[in-house]
Amino acid sequence: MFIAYIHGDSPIHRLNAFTKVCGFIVITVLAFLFKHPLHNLVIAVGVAILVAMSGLSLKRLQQLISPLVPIFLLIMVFTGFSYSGASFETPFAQRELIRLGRLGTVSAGGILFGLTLMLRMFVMVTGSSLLTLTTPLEEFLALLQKSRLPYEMSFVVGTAIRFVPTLEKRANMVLDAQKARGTRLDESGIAGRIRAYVPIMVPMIADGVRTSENLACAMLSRGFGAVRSFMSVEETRLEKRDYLVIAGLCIILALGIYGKVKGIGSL
Amino acid sequence: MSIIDIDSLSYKYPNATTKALDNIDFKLTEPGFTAIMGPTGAGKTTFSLTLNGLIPQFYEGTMEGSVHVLGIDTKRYRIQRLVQHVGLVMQDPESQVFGMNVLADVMFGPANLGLSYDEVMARARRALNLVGLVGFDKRPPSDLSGGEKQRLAVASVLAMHPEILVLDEPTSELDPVGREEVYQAVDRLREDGNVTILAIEHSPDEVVSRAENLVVFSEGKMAYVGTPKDIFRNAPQAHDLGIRTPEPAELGWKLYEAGIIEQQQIPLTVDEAFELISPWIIERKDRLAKCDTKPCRCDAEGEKEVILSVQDLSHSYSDEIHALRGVSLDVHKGEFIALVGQNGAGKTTLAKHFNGLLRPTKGRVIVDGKDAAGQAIYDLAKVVGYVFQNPDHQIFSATVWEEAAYGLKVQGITGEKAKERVANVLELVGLSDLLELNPFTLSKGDRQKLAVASILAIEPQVLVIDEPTTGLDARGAEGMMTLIDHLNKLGHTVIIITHDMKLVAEYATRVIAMSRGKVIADCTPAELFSNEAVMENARVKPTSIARLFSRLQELADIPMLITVEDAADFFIELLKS
Repeated sequence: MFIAYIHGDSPIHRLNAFTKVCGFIVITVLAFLFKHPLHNLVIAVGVAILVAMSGLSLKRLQQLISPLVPIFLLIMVFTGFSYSGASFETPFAQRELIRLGRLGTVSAGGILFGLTLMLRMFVMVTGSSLLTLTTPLEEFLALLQKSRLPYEMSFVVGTAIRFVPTLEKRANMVLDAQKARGTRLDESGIAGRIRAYVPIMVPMIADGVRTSENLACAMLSRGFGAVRSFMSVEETRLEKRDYLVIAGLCIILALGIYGKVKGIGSL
Repeated sequence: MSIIDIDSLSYKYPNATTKALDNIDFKLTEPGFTAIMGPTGAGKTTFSLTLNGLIPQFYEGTMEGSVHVLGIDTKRYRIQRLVQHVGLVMQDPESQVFGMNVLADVMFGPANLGLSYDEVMARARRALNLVGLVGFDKRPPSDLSGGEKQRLAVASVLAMHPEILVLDEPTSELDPVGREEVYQAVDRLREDGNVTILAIEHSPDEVVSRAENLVVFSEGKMAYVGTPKDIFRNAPQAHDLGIRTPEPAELGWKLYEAGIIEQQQIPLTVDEAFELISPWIIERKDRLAKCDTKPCRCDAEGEKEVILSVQDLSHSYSDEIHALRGVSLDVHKGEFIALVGQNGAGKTTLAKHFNGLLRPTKGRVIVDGKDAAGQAIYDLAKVVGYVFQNPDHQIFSATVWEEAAYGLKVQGITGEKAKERVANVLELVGLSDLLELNPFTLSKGDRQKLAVASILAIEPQVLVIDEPTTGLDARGAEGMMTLIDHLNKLGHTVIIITHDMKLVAEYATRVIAMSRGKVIADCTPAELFSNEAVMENARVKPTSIARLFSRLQELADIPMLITVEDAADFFIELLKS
């Protein structure tokens, strides 16, 4: 689900993959610089604005976030309990709010830090989704190639991803064929489950072996390995807007680090 | 210099007992279209692999003799060098596409050659143009239809700028629309320049209209090298070699045997057949008036018991994709039904409702008097057996016997009773000599039969068979259809899903044509082939004989005949009287 690129023509879509990865890194670093939820809220709002700019549907984002809500809440409760007031710097955060006997105490700082963790998670989930939903995989792969990793590696990754839908389709065909023969997949127990899946796995593996041989032939037929140097087929150039954004990101990062050193956003 | 020069070539796969290619000598000096035909396992694909060096460089095994393409010895140069002269497009389009999108895939080949970006791009553009995939640049391969994917495979190989293009059954996995697309691309390529094309092809109609030369393989040898005409005008020889001849030629041979025409007069195309036959019709026009029209092959016994009933059935895969839209029909016991229509028309979606693989979004399916809604697939399987197109999607057992017995085992039927049933079905499909063999070592035709046997063992009253003959050679297809016809005569209700109108014409008693999720015709095959509008809508191309008769019908009042047998009898009768 996370790798599903959604076509669009927003300012975010038009940025180079490299720029977007930089942006994602800067946002993540910022989120980890500050402990105070207020500062993280600012970052979260910033990310939300970027989402709005990208033209992605909020429904889509909601689908990604909503299963995580219980985890967010759990984290908040746990941090509230597990951080005693003594672990914070500011007097406000050190205050104890509730004392629950042997269970421990709940400090104001604990609750606030819980909020921070929640916002950090929101920022990272949303930020990474924004990155993957607005960047076609080809551009990631081109980036991978540019990063001087061996070409074979990015080829393997790309081909593997390209075959995901194919394998899914084949798995469904095998599943249908066996179900039509009365195969039952609802057997109980681990052994039963494994037994039930043998009729699915064997044809899939046999098919995989056949396909891989065909793939190798097809690769050679297309001259794979003819020359050592390889040209990336995706043309990725940094445009003016990319340089501007990257410069902006540098400034924001510098300001963030300066603020951190000055003690802003601590708890 | 010869384009292809092969000198006493033999090849044996590792661990094989017999030679896949046996002492082949072949010379090709003129560019043009050479068709390669022959039964499965005759060595056609193996031969194609020797042309760009995959044999002997990628496949191990022992090769003797030599292959030169454009003067280059395939043993002495790397595959990557050879592929710049010989482009090979393989059978399965799925495993030849590497790019994340169409453009990236076409660029993959030339980019491997280390060319400049501009050159790679120019080549890709030209190749996409040739196969008619302009505007598809950013489409991911999973979004393409079969025909589009195969054209992409052709484009990707063309972008390597080969002088020789080798196509291994480029259309065998495609529907008629896809076939046409691919062959249109091939024809454009020929108009475009002096290319040499070698194509492995089972369909005699594609061969007769294109190929200058024909090579027929049989048991690793080139059993026939010559023009398509000569072999197609000799039905017994073609049959011995295991290849089909075009329908007009089949008809022609029967007329030749009856002493009506000379062998040289045997027509190869519908046009030629029309030219030959139309004078006979015109001469006898008066006598032909008002003879018995439409030979009815339906049972005269009246309404039979309904075994399957579909009532106002709709099925939607999502809010946008409505695969079935209000389908109603009754299937009677003992019928032989063909479901036809373009890919995506809803044939498979409909058939999957018969055994519960899919459940209605709206409407009802009644199987043997009971609503399917309350029953598990497992229970429905006892009444409706479903044989899928690719037998390899279900075969998993270590022996033929176990595979056939699997269905019974999951139904809880074991012991003597099960043994007897399995023995019976394997006898029926003709595999009883191969009980202990590993199914994966069988030929495709035998694997297909095994898939049918494993369903038959459960003794379903209804048999749904998806594309029974796809990927089978002439003999395999004939064996499969004889089996299905036999099962129908034994009382099984048969529903086949097919694109092959020859099967529809020869075997079906009823044909259901679908288009965009609706049934647009439910009639006899002869009626379907008389209805231009419906055929247009369902993208169905009638058989050659049906096309011949609809043209002849414009000349005189004659019945609509659709099979070679019926047509031959009709003309012999006509000319003898």
